[in-house]
Amino acid sequence: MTEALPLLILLPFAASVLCLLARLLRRLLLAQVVAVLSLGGILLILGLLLPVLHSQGGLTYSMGGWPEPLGIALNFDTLAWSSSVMGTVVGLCALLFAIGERKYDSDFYFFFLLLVAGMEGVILTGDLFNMFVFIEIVSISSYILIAYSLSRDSLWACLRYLLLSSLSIFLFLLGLFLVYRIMGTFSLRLITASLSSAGGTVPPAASDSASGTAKALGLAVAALTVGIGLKAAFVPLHTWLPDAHAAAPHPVSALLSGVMIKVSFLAVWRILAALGTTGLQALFRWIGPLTALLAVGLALCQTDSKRLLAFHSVSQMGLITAAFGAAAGGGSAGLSASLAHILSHSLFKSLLFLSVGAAIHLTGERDLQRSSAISTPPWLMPFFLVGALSISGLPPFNGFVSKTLVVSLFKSSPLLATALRLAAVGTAASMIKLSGMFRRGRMEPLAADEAVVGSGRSAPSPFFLIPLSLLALLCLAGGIAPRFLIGSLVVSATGEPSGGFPSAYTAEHLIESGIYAALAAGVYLLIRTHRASRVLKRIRDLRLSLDGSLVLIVAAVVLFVVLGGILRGGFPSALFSR
Amino acid sequence: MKESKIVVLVSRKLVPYILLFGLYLISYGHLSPGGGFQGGAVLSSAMLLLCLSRGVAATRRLFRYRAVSAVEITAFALFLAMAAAGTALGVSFLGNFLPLGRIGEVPSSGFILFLNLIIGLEVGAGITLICYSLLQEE
Amino acid sequence: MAGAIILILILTGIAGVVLVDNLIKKVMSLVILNSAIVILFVWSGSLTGSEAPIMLAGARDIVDPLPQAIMLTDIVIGICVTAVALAIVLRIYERWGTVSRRKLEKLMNENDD
Repeated sequence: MTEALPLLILLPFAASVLCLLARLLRRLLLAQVVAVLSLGGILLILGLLLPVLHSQGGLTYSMGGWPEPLGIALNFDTLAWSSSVMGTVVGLCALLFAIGERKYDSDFYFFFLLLVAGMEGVILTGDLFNMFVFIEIVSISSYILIAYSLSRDSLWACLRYLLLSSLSIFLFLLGLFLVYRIMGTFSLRLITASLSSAGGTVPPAASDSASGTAKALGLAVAALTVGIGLKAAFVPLHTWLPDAHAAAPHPVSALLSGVMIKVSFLAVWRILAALGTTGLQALFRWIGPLTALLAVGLALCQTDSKRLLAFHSVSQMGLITAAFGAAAGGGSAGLSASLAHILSHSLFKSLLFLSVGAAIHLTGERDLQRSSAISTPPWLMPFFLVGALSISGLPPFNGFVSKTLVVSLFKSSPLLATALRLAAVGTAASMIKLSGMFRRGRMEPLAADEAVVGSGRSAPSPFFLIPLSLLALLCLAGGIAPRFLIGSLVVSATGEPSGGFPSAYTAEHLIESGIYAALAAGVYLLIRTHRASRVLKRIRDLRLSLDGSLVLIVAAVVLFVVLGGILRGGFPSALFSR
Repeated sequence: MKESKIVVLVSRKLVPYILLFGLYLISYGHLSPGGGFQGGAVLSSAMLLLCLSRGVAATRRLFRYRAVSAVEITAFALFLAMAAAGTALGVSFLGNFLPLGRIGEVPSSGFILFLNLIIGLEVGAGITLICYSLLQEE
Repeated sequence: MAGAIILILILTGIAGVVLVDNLIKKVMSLVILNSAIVILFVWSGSLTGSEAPIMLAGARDIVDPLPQAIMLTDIVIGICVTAVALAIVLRIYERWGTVSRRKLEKLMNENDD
């Protein structure tokens, strides 16, 4: 069954070739059918691989029959399995939504499938340079998909993202160079093996002193983290996300926010796990809550619905990063919480983006103030409600489970816990603000779709209903049966003993979420006042220039090296002891 | 762009040799410096020379867009087919299933020669299409 | 010697991307950064041997071939990114009428208000 592993990457690539053929022959249906079939095929293979995974614990496949370090290996463990399933499910939903929107030609499906193939590659590969290649495949496809509508905003958002991403990939390559010089190989498995056999300090090929090599390794990891971390959008590497995800077509926003930023974070996870520098991981403990709070604050000021959701993506990535950082020093509870929130967030964020996208598609209006006057069809409201309640962390949805897990990791540091709690309140408040889009308004929508007419009396398109219901059901299932859905995936991925998945439905947590909801309503009423809205507009108009964002990236590497070294201990003495 | 007769004439005479050189780079890629991408880039530079000297419209009459696009798609599909053929024939994905010849001869090193040819055509066609799109005068 | 060239290229590239106003020159700075990386890897591979890694001449004291193979892929990726970037810049010029970063950001802010 190991032979099926390359199929996970081959299927979407083969389907993308057929999409190109469909473009040449001018048959859109071929592209759509092939795309859906290939994603379905991936899910089928993943389903067939599950029993093999349970019995063997992990699969490895050497490409071309060349063993490492001569060749590239695909590593398939439970972490890869859960991320692949998450990515493909969200991808399938976004794909169905795109088919329902009926405004994309075969090129769109070509790049969509390339994006999925690239993400599968990032998840599966066990070689650092191969990871770079797949990251670039994902990047290039996402550049083109973001700019797909060729509107002025999307072109500028795409170019901004392109410049920032290219600069950070350059830094990633610098990190790769250092890793190769120190380790002599690019293979993650061999790197982990040589670092752990030497006790985590001196690697075999080193000729420098131990502190010198450790310094270089720390620099390499900082560069690698900033390189991919840009795509995972934590502060200070988040500046591209609001423009890009807001300007992209709706299914692309769902896919990028739902999957791509998580997959990039998982790549950072794998690299830090292999190279083992805990200083940087501890730094995430601070960056996470900062990101969560800052992004929620900015989200509250937005008047464009998709920009608001995009800022929330940054904020939730802050939660994920915070949980990951809390695991520094060997606690696997943090890894479980982080992975749980990754899985939950991909489901409810794509649900939110797709439902808001459906609303924009049906009413033609994306600005919050203008669209509150137009009514959206009533069948859309429940889906948005599920997504909003999930992201606010309210029971009985999966967001409640994962958020309480994350916050409970920070019992020991009240400052960070308060920041996370404030972020939760802000999230709920901005969801109330966003729900204004779905209320019954005075006017009927001006843009009538062929599938849904005016007052919503005729049936909504199945291509909208199926993905929205699937995602909503999964959110609900994750909340109602967390041990089954989230717990089993997370536990086997992070190595926590089974039964160690804590229950989120304690009285304390339920009361807490009730308090959040009440506070959120209060915050929402507060920001509706006239004076507050002027302050919000002032914050909204603050824009970081392109050059400023680029400088932030370079500064981030310096920051990560210095702070990561300090947090690991002993860095200043090593730096100045020449 | 004002056409110069010297440039047009010389480029017309040069293009076949550049194409030949590109093909040489591709087919000797496993024996000496060269290979799929390098030869493909040279092939497309020949197309680029034609576009620059005679204009994109004239070049497209000679090498039609749909034909170049078909070459690219076929090459892509063939590459995936050869990779999958490794799995089908018992060796692993992207494994070699052709006989290895003697070192130093052109038909040696298994299927790397074929992969080079496929990649060369793919890259040549791809960069040619890029040039067609970017150099068009609307 | 090679180290100095690489350092100059990297500094030029980063300064170009961050400080220059023209978008096309920013894209060119990215190309410069890519070239710097290529030279860096190939140079680091060349430190361990003295002959080119070609089988016909025998394999006695060859340089490390892995960075060279990797850099081939890297160059291809760099070309693809440059092509996409230039196509986007071309479209931006068609839509907005300028390729100056300062003017574009001013136009974008006016657009939003």
